[in-house]
Amino acid sequence: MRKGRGLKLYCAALYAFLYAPLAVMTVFSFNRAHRNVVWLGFSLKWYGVLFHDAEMMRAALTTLELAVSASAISGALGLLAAYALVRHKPFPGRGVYATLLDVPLMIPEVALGVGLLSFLVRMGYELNFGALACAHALICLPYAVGAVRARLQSSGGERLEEAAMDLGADEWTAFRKVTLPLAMPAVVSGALLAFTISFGDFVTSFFLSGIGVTTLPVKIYSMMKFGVTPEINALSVLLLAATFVLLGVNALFASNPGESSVRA
Amino acid sequence: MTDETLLEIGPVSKSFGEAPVLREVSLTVRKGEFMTLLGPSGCGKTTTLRIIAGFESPDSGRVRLAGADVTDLPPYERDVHTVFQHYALFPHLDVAGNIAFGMRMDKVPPPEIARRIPEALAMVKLSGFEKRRVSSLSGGQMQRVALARAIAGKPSLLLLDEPLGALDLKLRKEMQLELKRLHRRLGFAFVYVTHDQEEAMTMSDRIAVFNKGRIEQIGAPSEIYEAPRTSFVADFIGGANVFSAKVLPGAEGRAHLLIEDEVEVDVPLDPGESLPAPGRRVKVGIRPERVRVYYKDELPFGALRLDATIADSIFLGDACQIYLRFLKSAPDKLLTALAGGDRYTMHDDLGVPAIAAIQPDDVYILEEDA
Repeated sequence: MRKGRGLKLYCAALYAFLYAPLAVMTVFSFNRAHRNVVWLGFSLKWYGVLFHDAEMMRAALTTLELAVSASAISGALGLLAAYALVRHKPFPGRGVYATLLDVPLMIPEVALGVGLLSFLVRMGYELNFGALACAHALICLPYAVGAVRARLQSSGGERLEEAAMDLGADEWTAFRKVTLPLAMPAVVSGALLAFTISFGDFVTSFFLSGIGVTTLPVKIYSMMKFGVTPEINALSVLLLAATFVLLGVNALFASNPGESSVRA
Repeated sequence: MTDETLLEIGPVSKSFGEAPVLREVSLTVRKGEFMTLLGPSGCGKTTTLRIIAGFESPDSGRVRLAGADVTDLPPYERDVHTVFQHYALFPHLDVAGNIAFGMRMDKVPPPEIARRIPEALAMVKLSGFEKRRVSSLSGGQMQRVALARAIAGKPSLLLLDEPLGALDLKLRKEMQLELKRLHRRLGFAFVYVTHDQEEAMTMSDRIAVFNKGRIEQIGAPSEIYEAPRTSFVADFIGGANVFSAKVLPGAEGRAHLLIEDEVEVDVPLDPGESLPAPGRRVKVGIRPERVRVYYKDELPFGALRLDATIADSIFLGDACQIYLRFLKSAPDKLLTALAGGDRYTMHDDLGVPAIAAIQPDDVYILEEDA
């Protein structure tokens, strides 16, 4: 029995370690006081302040648009790249190409940010929304590729495409009618992941945000210069909530492979 | 069955990298025929099927379907459908959607599709399964749906790639009979790939026996069984006993042979069968069920008598397989006999002396392996 209790304690400590900071932040976002030190009672006023802050709202909108663009771009490119990786006949160096797609995951984001910034400046590109969207798509691409690749490998798609062609479908039709519907849940799941990554990204956004393109994480950082206010807590809680919602949606997609019935 | 040729391939060769998979394979399939490609794994039978379907292109040789050269046509432009070994049903479509797929591609009008789906399902005894999900089906049911999907489009040729391989024995036997019945009803030609000689025997009009990328023999099941041409065919079909023998000078129309340098036998030749030159070495075969085993001296007339001891025996239920040691110089070369279960009572008989009787008629001379 003692052994069992020890294990339970350990687990409790582990989860506390993971989630206590978030819990504290959430609690203090409902604090009436101006500082995070003392608890003066429950209040929603910081959320009110947040929603009446025009600059804040603009940053939120930018962040959202950016996440949508980045997930759309990386989702589409990810599908094509994963299809090529899984389906292309083996050739020397195929593994290298596959690894090169994963490498951006491992590169320190600071290095990536510096690289992107100096590249864009040298090439004379303006640091605008488009540049930032492309940069975010770049960061998200490995996730999108990974999700779709795993799905394509496990679904036995090549056999199914052969079956479709055997039944009279040309290559494009077989892709459209068989491979795409089967890969779609993974594409959506990869895009959702990309969305959360873009939504919470700070480093790249910080390096590349030009005039007028400010994302929420960058905004939070600039506010932090004046100390952690309950408003920042409230904002972080909202970001946290949004992430959990997206994770939930993703889990829903992962559990339901999206099989659709077809009328005869 | 008519004599009209539907499919003609040959002489087809194919290599994957350095390894030759098919060497000059030629084959014709008549309209409405049930042709089985039989052989061990890696013999080239599945590659041949994939070349007919259009998934592989031959290095040399042509494929002609209904008189037209289809060698360079993609799979979707050939009037051929395949039942795949692993079913390859579309998991995102229901049963009806799977069956409709090919007909939609062929632009069959929707009312006709709606009519043909239940028809195809009835043929594979799955009426009422239209709305079922593929994932809710058992292996046997999936195989039936795969079959229904392939026949619904009414191709002139149906290819089946070891379709029963994944099913259990009882289901396999049932499906064999059903496939044969279906073949008779549908009237189009089947090309069936299997490594199971019994399956091939049960269903086929003709069998092509493959070995190492070549066809060793093509013929009706009885022909292949009764008169195997090579020792590979003799061994693969029903596990015949194969021994080496030396040709001795003998009488006209008969071959005088010395089997394994020990046993002399005088084998009558079939009309037209040429006598190998004396002194040459040949292979001879004898079917296990033609070897009789006796425990006392009661030999049938004209039989060749071999004094043997019983090396092993296996009870098979309806029959019994007995392994006999009969060679003094090569005691490991056993003669297999197949006795009816009623004629042979099992007892602890290892090492017991017995008499094997063989009619010289039943010994056949085999060609060298290709």
